[in-house]
Amino acid sequence: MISSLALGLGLFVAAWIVHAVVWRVRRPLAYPIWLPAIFISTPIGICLASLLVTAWNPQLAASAYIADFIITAPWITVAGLMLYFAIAACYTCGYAGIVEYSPSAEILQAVEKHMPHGIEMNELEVPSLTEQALTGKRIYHLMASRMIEQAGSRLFLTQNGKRVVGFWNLYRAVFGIKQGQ
Amino acid sequence: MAAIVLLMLLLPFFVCGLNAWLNRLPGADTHLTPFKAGAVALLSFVPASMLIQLTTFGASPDELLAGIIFTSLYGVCVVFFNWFVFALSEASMHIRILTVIHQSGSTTVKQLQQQFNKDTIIAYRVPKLISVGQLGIEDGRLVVKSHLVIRFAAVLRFIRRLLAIPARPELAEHSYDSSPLTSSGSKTSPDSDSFNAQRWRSYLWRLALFAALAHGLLLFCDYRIWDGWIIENIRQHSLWAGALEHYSQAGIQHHYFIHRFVNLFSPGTFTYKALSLIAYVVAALAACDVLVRSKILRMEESLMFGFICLSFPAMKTLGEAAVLPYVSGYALFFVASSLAVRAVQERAITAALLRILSILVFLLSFTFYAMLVYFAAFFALLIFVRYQYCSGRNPARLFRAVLGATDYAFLPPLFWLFKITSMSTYGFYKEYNQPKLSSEILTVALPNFFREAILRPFFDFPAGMWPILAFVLLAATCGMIMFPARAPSRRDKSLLLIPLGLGLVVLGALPFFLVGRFLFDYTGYDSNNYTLLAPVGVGVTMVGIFGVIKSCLGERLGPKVVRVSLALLVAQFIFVWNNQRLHYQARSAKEHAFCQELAASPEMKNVSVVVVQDRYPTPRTDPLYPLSVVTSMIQAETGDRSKLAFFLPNQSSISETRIPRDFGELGLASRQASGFRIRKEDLDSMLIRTTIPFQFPQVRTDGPQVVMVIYPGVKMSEQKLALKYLMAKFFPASPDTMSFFLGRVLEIDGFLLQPPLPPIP
Repeated sequence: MISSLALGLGLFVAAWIVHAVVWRVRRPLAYPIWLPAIFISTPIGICLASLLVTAWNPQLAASAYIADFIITAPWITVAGLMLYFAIAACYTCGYAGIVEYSPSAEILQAVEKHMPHGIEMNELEVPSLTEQALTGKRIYHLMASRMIEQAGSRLFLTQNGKRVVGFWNLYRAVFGIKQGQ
Repeated sequence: MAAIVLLMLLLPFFVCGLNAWLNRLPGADTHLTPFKAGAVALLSFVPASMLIQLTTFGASPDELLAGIIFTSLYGVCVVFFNWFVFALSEASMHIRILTVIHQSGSTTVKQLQQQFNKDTIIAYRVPKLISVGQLGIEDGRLVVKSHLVIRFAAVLRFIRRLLAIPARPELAEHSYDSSPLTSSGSKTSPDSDSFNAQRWRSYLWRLALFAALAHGLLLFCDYRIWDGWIIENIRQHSLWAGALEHYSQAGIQHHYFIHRFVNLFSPGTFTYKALSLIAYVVAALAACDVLVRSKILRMEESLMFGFICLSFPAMKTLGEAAVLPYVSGYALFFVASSLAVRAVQERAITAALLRILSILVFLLSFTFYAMLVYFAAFFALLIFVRYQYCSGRNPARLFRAVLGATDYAFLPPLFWLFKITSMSTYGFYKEYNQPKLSSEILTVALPNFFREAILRPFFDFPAGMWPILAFVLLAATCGMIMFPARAPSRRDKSLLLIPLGLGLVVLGALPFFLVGRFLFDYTGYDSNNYTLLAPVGVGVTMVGIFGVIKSCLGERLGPKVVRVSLALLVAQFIFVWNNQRLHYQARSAKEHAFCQELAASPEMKNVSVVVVQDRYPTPRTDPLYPLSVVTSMIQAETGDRSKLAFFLPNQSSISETRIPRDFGELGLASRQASGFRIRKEDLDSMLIRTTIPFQFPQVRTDGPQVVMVIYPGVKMSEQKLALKYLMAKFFPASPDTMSFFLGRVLEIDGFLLQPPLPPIP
């Protein structure tokens, strides 16, 4: 279990570093595509590179160790990879909260400024919740991800967008969530 | 282990299924069902997997702890994922926007902004926050009930800083100013920092003045080092036939023609130094020009690049006669690159002429063979520049960009074909510098190169400067952490320059790796030659690093910090250059003094072999020349071509114990210690192994032999010795000032070597 835990966490750290480097070089707007791509390709890349480097020069200890581990302990590797993908999936989901500036957190911070007395609902001002931050940016992301497109001044769903809406309708039906609930 | 993996596989299905079932129960609160399902799943999964683990791996405490962490982490991740997807279906604005567009068929940005305005969001979110216990209502006023989300938001802010995402929404506003959303739906073009000729001319003057500051001392020095002495000997005694043979064997005949050409007009050390310096400065300016015209750097960044490129102490042998052909090739390459980039930007006949001229200059520059590999970087740059001028969509646009530069792609193979057919190596150099691939390039050569050639010049300063450096580094690091990104788009480009510059550094060193030159030594003569291509890559990298620091610290503080850091850095580099030149000049003063003593001594007239033992070593550079260099030095300085000279290693007095290549097999140290003559056959063998025996046909290996020991004269530092020498040279009080000065530099002791004892029967 130590090996699986180390593998899962180690892979996540490596992939996160790749993600941070890519983001610092150029932050992709279509992050819903880029982030999964990085988290999927990094472990595959590390495994392939280790096998290739070991085949090329067996003296290189680090790559030989990784290659040996993959070959001799497949179940431990699978468990480690499952942990990795679970953490990566959570991070990918949580990334929306990182990049989108959650309105809930902004509301809470705005209320906290008035503690301990609190504030009346109709007096609540949240300056960071601008139209651009709330809607414009999200439209921008959806366009960059090619889910919606603009023709003239109107926005339309693309085929990808329609598929996504179809998926969520199905999900809500399966999970018994009523529209607007 | 397989059972645990199976459990792990089943867990997501279990959580989702339980959640869906709970939702369908009458009166279910869908805000809470994911948490309930998650709690049940965790309480069943973790104990079950621990049970399996105990039966499989036993009760080892380490394994048990790891198992608890592993299963809990995995379980929490699955539960979180389920909750997140569930919440996404309810609250995600992305999904809601998509749903709204789907339901209405189409909509406008304005309608969406009206629908999802601030008041709507607040009215929707506040009740939800109250229901999950984050907010509460006391006396009709909203109060914070739990700080969980606020603390979590602080963690997210920290991650944003790590990822260079503006930490607060208001800081991010401007980064979306150039949003593709316009009323007409068209995309805005990026703002370009175009080439400004007038500004560029003003930069040229500044860079030229800076070059004079960094390298002006070179023109006043008259030192020769290593192969510079061989060139001097060839020049003084017109040994051009031997030179042609030597260069032909090494496959570099053009070196012969360059030296003949230089000596045709104005022979001498100064000419070589002046030409080398001009070539070096022209190369830096042309590199600046290329990087600005191709929009890799902005105008102001090009000035910074120029300062670093001109001052980075890479090829400290710059100015030496033997390396002039390399520096010339280096300069020609960047001139050709500049012409090629201009050709892309010009039209019709001008473009065609520039293109032809650039091709010709490229072919000339390839006589510095390392450029054949470095050309790959230029070709990629050319594609990039052409791509900007091509229209259409990818991949056709990229294809057109590549197709238009096809003629350039053929240049390296064309030149290589010419080289292997007409400039191949033979004789002593038959196997010299043949390309070969090895994994040691990655494991030995690359780390060694970065350590010795790239990092060490940054830290080559007096010990007293270390606290200042530590403070600057600490302040820079703290600044980057403390201040969030304020202009992410600008920083992005700077960050891109760092890998680009490092790639150029590696590409510059690659040719030497390919021929097996792995052991770079910061002070080594050869290493200096190998690093000629380092300044361009280091310059680009440093501009990127400074750009990052600048944007991290913000508009107010950033430029000031960068200016001070740049000034400190280039001041350090200038110090290294000038200190190195004074070192070479001090060493040269010593050599002049030794040769003066040698020429003045009447006993030395008939001596054929001079064995030198140096007990006055100068530190920092490799102390002992090989036989070919010492012999050339003595022949050039004394005018006596019959003498052969070489150093004896004296490990007790020389700090850097490097055995010259002529030693090792002969055991000469023990022969000398016993006071016996060196055998003629040994000397002949040593001459052969100089690889240029045809340069020394008049050497008598059977004549009298003498050992000369050099001791320090008046004690003074290297820098002082060099400066006093220059003072005596340029401001002599009398005609004898120099010879008097040299007479005090060192003291010499000597004795004749006796014939060997007859062999014991």
